[in-house]
Amino acid sequence: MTGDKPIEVAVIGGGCGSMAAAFELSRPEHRGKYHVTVYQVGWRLGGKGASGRGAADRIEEHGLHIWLGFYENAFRLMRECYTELDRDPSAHRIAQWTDAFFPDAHAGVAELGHAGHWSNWTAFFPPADGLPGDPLSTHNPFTINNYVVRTLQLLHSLILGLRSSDQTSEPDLPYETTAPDSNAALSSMLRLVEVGVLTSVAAVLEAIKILEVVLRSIAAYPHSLLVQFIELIASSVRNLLEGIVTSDPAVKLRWEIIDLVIAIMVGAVRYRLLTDPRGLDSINQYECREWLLENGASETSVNSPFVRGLYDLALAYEDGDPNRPGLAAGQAIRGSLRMFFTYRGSLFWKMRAGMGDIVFAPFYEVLKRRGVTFKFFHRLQNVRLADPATLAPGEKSYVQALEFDIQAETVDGLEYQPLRDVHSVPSWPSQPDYAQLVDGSALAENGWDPESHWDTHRSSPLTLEVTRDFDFVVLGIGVGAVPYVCRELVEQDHRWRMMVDKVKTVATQAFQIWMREEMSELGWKEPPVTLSAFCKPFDTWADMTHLVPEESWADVPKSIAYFCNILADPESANAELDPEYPEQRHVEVRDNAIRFLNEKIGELWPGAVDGKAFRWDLLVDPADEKGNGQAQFDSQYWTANVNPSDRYVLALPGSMDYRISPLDNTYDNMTVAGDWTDCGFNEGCVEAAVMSGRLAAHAISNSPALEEIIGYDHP
Amino acid sequence: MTIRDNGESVDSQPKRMHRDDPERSEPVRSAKHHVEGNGGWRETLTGRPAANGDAAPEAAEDTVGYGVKLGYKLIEDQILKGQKIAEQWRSPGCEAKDEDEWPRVLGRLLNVYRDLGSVYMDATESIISRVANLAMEYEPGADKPSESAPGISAPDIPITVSSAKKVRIQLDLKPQAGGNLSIPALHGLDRAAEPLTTVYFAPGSTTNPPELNVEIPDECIATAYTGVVVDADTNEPMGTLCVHVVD
Ligand SMILES: Cc1cc2nc3c(=O)[nH]c(=O)nc-3n(C[C@H](O)[C@H](O)[C@H](O)COP(=O)(O)OP(=O)(O)OC[C@H]3O[C@@H](n4cnc5c(N)ncnc54)[C@H](O)[C@@H]3O)c2cc1C
Repeated sequence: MTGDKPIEVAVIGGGCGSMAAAFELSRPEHRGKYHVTVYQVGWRLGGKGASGRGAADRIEEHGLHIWLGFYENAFRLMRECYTELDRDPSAHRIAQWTDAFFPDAHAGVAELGHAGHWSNWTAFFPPADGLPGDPLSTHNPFTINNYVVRTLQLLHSLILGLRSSDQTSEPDLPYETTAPDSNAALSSMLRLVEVGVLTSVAAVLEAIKILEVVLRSIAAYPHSLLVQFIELIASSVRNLLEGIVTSDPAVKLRWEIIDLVIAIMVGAVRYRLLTDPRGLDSINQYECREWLLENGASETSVNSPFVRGLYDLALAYEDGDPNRPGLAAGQAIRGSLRMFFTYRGSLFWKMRAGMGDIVFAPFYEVLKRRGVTFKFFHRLQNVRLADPATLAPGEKSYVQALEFDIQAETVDGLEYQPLRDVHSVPSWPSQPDYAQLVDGSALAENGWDPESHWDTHRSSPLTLEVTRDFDFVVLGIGVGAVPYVCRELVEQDHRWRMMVDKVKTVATQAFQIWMREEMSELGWKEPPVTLSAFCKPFDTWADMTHLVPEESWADVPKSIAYFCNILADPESANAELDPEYPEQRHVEVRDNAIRFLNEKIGELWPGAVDGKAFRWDLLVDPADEKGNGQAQFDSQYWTANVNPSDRYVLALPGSMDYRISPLDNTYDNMTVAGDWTDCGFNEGCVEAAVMSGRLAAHAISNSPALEEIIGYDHP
Repeated sequence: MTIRDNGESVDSQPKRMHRDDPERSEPVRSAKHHVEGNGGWRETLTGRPAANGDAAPEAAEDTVGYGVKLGYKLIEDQILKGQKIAEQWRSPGCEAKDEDEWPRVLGRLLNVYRDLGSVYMDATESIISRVANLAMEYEPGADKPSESAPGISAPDIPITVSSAKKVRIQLDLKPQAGGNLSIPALHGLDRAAEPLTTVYFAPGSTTNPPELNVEIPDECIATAYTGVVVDADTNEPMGTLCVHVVD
């Protein structure tokens, strides 16, 4: 400690990871022990979760953003943030967290049928007890016991459902919660293994019940018996149900899910996942689909819309190539368990406005009140390490200096004010507020994009020195930017070199359209949905019509749709050296979107196509310039997310061990935050980023305790 | 000495701050840690009673006895089944008359038997270890249960064979098998075979492992003889033995 002077923490970047770290370090409980300064490239916070308000105050997102009901850390911080924000509900339409997020219980997947037509299957996920971010003491869904019970309940109800749809069903057998005791389970297991076949659904269901007892205290049972037993259940279920050949996609999907659940259970026992000290991490070197196949799942099941949908939601395609799906098996299963079995309230939560407005503006306001300093238009250029020759004996390496480009100066050196109100909601504009910047109008005329990796504009350099300007660093940039700003680290440190090599990222593309007709008029008869597994290049669609009242349209749209997907990398990495590269990709995404709307969208919305082409006159143009035909698409919003820091972080098989933990202390005045770190939930999502930020804060301040980072310690 | 950007030197440099090494830098992944009532996420689990699914066996001895009984029964059933099948295959009109087929069938039966034997061994072992763990839990203040004596692995055991016929011997012992072992009897897969009672362990000492003596009477039918090795003091199963007598 340096007397009364606070410890200076430089947080680089303003994404979810960085905000979580800043939120933890600036908690009033620390009594001002840490002073945090956030250095952010460009004019807004948010990174991969940034959004802006464009023409007609329309919300323009980096991509489609849905929060899942298991995001305990993210929701907890968000809820605390809204409480502290203390907005007056009579003056703010989005005052409380419940105004900001709303449950969305409908998820869907699409499937290509034999006749070459797409059909879709939507499911309603019933509300689960509690709300995400609630204290866990009252209802804790995060135990192995719960997973086992929920998995087997699912299997049980899926099997019953299938049988009843088959019309040959036996009487409906409810899932009994009373199960045989452990000795009886052992004896029944031996008996059933001996018999060697389970000939009726009732026998299978009985076996599942026994399995529940056994899996709850798995160490108490012989492994080889368990393997035999579970394989017996698997083969019996498959034998019993294989006669169900159906053209009904819902029944088919159900059968595929049963097949997958069984494969996971067989794999869990075979690979000793419930007793291996590494838990699910022990199978992270396997590709998830291959692992499922190896444990008996059928080809059809691993290629089912359900699995494709999960891959699509996780943007899990190496190099953006749809033919190279890649998800580490352990993390994929952890993600699915958490997604389906530990959600609270609702499976999905949608935001009432842009993610920038709902998440980052409240964080900004609360952090400002707590005394956090924000430095916009600061691009980190280099993390300089201490010269090894100057290290004292036994002293660890550390960050000596942080070298920045200040991209623009504010008029009169005033603090940049980044937010503006839209219908009483403090929001981020889609562009910098040029009026606040020196030479602002010239910058605006040149179409300056300070967020672009290819932008080189700077007004002056800035070097921050350790002890003088900062004590600790939280490196919160996206991993794609690490090779550019951490050159010394990557050159000198094998682990960092391997990390940037193995923890791969993928570019993404997204577009949004505002339409004159309601979804039902366009032919979508289901409730508003988030649907994935549709065709490339835009496999995921969410109905975002609820955003209309947040925007300011003269010609009010009746529906809004967001689409999102990966964007394949160019064959040559050199393509990215071209300063025109981002523009080329931007044009490519526009063309992709136009083709997709012309050729594919009719499968989902038959009313949106006229003859063979999209009805371009459906699109609402904020400038009301009434372009012709597909040129009207230019009035909509689309983005090619190709900035290195903005690339989506993959969870590829064999890559997990190369991640670096925020707790790693190799450089003892620096920690890392972001969804690319080894944060306990190693998959690119808001929850992972928030967990990493909390871990980074723990690394510096010992708070929060690791046990309070929900899900960090998870099998 | 630090040089500021403007070239000014700073003589009295404040001490650089650093982080201490963390207690751990990895999550606890073991599922055992996350069984309800067993630690895990702090808020959740403090002071909560164990849930029903984790019920401990009622009495340690009962459970061991129960496991042993089940195991014996299973092995017995399997042997009987094996004998019955072997009999069928030998009966007139059966394809097994084919000279080549017979050893294959026998081998397969043997495998089934051996697999079940090992399942049984696993079962008993894990029940015992569960009991040991739970016994520790149920006796607050007691020391840890003492480590079992260093185990004897099967290859360490000297084997003496006296036989006019060729024999193959497969002995699988648990690591904690002690020096005083016995074999009740080895049952033949061929129903006509008398149980083999001339296979026994000569007791070892603290320094010497027991010695396995395999005496094959001349009239012994060529078949596979299998049985369970038990601790002579406690009658707890310690492994399996298979003596395959070949003509
Ligand atoms: C298209 C898309 C859709 C997604 N959809 C979902 C979803 O539905 N649900 C979900 O949970 N997750 C989703 N994600 C993932 C989620 O957005 C990310 O996991 C999360 O936002 C990552 O936060 P972060 O803090 O790790 O990184 P980032 O958000 O990338 O933050 C990095 C920060 O560093 C700044 N920065 C970078 N370089 C510099 C520099 N040189 N100097 C200064 N600052 C710098 C950036 O501007 C940014 O503020 C999606 C991601 C994408 C790309």
